[in-house]
Amino acid sequence: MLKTRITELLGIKYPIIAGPMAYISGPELVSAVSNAGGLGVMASLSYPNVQELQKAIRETQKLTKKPFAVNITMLPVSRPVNYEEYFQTAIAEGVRIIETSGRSPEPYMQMLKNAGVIVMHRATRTKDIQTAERVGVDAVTILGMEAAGHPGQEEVGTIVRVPVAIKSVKIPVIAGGGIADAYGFVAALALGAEGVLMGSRFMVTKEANIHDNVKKWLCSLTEADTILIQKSVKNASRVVRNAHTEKILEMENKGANIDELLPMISGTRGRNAYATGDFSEANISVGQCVGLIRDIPTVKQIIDDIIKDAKVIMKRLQALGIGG
Amino acid sequence: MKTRMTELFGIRYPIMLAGMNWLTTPKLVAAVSNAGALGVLAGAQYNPDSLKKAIQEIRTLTDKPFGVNLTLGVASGPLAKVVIEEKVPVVNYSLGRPPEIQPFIQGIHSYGGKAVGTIALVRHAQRSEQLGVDAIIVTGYEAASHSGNVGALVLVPQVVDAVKVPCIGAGGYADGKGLAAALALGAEGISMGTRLAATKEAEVSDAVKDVWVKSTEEDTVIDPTFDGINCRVLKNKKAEEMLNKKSLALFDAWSAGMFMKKELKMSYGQLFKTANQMRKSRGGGMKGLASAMRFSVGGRLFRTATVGGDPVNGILMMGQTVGRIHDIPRVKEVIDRTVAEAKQILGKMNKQIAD
Repeated sequence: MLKTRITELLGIKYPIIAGPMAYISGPELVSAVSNAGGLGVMASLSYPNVQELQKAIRETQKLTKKPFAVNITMLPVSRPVNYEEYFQTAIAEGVRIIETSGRSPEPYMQMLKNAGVIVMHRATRTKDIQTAERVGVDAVTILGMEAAGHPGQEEVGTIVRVPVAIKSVKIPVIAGGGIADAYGFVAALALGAEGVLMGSRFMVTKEANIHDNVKKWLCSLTEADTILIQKSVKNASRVVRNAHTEKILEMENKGANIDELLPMISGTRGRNAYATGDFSEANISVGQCVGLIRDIPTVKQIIDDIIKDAKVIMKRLQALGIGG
Repeated sequence: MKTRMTELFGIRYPIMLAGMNWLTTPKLVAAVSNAGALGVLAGAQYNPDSLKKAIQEIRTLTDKPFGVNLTLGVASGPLAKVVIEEKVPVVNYSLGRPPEIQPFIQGIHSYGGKAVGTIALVRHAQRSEQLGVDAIIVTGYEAASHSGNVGALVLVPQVVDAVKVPCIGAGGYADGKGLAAALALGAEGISMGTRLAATKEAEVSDAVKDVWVKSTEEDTVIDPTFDGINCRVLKNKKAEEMLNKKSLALFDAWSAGMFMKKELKMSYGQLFKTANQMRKSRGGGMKGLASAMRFSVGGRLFRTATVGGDPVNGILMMGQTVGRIHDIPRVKEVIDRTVAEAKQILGKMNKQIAD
């Protein structure tokens, strides 16, 4: 047990939240995180329709009795999405926690609050978490530039983002971007966060439903092996550096427009790579913390190790005569 | 507060000043050392004579340990000689190649000085350790001026894991939260630049200090346009103008070169030798020449912002920590409250985490 306002709010044992990852954060991974005492978060937009989402939620409920969340990302996508349907489905299926991202959840807040849902919102900019607090969300996640996926156009590091966020809102803050082990976990709490969000670390686990080739490849990478693509289309995205993603960068530098880029940056490339294990033509999202990832343990091992190692870190600091 | 950093340097608190050209004046350096941390003078702005004078001035202002920072590679040989002659207690270097670094470290060790390398990647940390440094400064992407692309939160634990010598976190630190986080990440202390420059003792105009107080963490930009390698600065009109222009006017570079010649009291021979060394060190050929030219233009604009005190027409280096800077206190106050806050945070966390 490690009590913070986040564990209290969400009813979980440890303040560790699994960042939702497209095509990866399904029932198996989500339930594994929740069963290990953290909070699993389902990537709902990976399901092409709400019938599929309904099936996935029910499957997760069979696999865990612990709280889990459903994420609804409202970013520009190539297919039109009826977000209201996704929110309604999650509520109807009895999901108690919803994480929103990509855009302010304001239009749906009334519906969510009426249903008694706990709302978490994830953003990269200080002003966006302030907006989220104003429209009534219960907790926010602030992402630093180290993060996988969309770490923001401004590229501010987690070590700066978090303390600024703490000063800017009163609701509890979760830190994301660059955290993969007890070092990052303790550092995030020291910066004032009341929980951490980890994506990439849970991607490289036994329970993550992706090809072993991809997991092994991620284990071999260093902190310098990621790049930011899609900055030119105002949707910065951190991915593994490979021939494919370098080509995307080159196209952007030459002024390619979104229509030319779309087939290159499509999420289905990642999905295919996860299925086949061939990542040569894929843009695989991963954070800079990939340099800290060197093994493929179970989800439970990761969470247990973080809590155990956090105690070791605190003992070391105590021995220095700090924080005794 | 005792860490391997305080033991190594013989200081009271695990905090050091980042050497910043034209900002870390002898007065500021001494103020930091007198407050129990380690003051560091940026050496690259000096010629050998003026560097010697600056070091001697620090010694008249403090009897505590202090450091000098040097950028190796171009025209740094004579400055390195001064540092060794003056037996500077702590010497921090950045860039440079092993044939230059190795004898420099030996020279520092010959009088009992401590050599500290600055890096921004794990493999460079390992190389510095092989070359014999006593400590490593790990610069995160958040830092003012030059850095790599990796955030402090990720970089520090990896470097700590990869080397045995003590590591000092730099980039993104401005308060006790940062110090506590750095210690948790395995660092033995922190280096603060912008935070310690935004103090009463800093000899820079109020206009500049005002920029640091008012800017947010989103008001900086990093790009090679300013001085030829990736450099984080205030995103002001001048910076945006340079970013939009990208191409470099030959006349600007020439006039900036002449300015530097006068500033550092160089002969034409020295100037061309320096320019050519810089061209070679920056990839050679036309690419190296363009980068070297940017360096001279950037150098003058950095000076406009600092010595000139003009953050509108100059280019002002600053880290993302500006988002955490809201006042202009005395140096001692910054150090004292950083240490007190870190202690308080870690004390609270101890209860929270240790069962």
